[in-house]
Amino acid sequence: MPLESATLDSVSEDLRAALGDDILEVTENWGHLIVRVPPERRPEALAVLKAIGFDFYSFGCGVDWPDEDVLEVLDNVFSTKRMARVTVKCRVPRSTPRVPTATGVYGGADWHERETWELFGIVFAGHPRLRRLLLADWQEGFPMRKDEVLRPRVEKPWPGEFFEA
Amino acid sequence: MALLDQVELPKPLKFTLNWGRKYSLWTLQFGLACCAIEMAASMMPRHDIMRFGVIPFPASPRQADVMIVAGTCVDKMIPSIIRVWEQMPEPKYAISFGSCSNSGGPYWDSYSVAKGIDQYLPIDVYVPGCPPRPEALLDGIMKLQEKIQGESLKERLSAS
Repeated sequence: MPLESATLDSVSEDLRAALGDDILEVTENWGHLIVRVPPERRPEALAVLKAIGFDFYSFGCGVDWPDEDVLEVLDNVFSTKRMARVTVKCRVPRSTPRVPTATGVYGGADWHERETWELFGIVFAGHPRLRRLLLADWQEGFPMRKDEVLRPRVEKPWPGEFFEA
Repeated sequence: MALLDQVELPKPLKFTLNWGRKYSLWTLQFGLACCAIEMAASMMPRHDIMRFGVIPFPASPRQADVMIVAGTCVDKMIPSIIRVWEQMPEPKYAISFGSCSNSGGPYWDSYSVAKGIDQYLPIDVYVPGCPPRPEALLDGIMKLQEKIQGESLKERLSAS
């Protein structure tokens, strides 16, 4: 549901007041706010959002940007009072993907962080039980990273190309 | 079963025994994805799989003759499928229902889906489709019944 810009402005004002210069960037996309913070300030940013009424941790996930050598962590929180949605993004280098955990702020972040950890290899420092959630124990590598090799595709290319040739 | 795997039965006896076996297929349902809905639909009154002698509600794999693997088998599920399969008594049959369990289907290039359950189980009948219609499962059951009618129980039991 798109929001009135007055609601968005009040949310971003509250965020700026609490976090100050830590906020790298605030953009608006289709009525939703996107806030970019440094990785080490992720729990604080989420704590501020929780304090100003964002009571529901909607989802957390990762994005791989191999061209920029960056892994991105996303947290999407929702306010049932303001009916607003905010995405918190932080970027970490692919060589040392490490962010502090948000489980101390939102308990619901637990499984989302475990899933992001096993699919992207992003380590959530301070997570109480960073174990596998969905994949089999013997799975190797991080399947959602874009440089991960899909073995069946190597052995047999996509049939679409076969038919075009 | 002490004699059956050593002695080839006389023809009339073999016919009668196989005829009795093929119309009493206790079927273990291993529904894993959307194919399970079609499998359930085939057991409902409209398609009524029971008129072929298939009894779809065994209380445990130890009472089952046929296992229908219906749906996407991920790598993590394979040990459970094998474990259930090994609990079934001989002679046992397996039906692979749907593209995913036949070959991986639309997930043929996935990082977590098994590329065909026939790498792990001896499949008797493959039912193609994504998901197959309930009629396709009925046809698969009839194919399995043809196979049971024509087979020698001695060969079946001594091979396994």
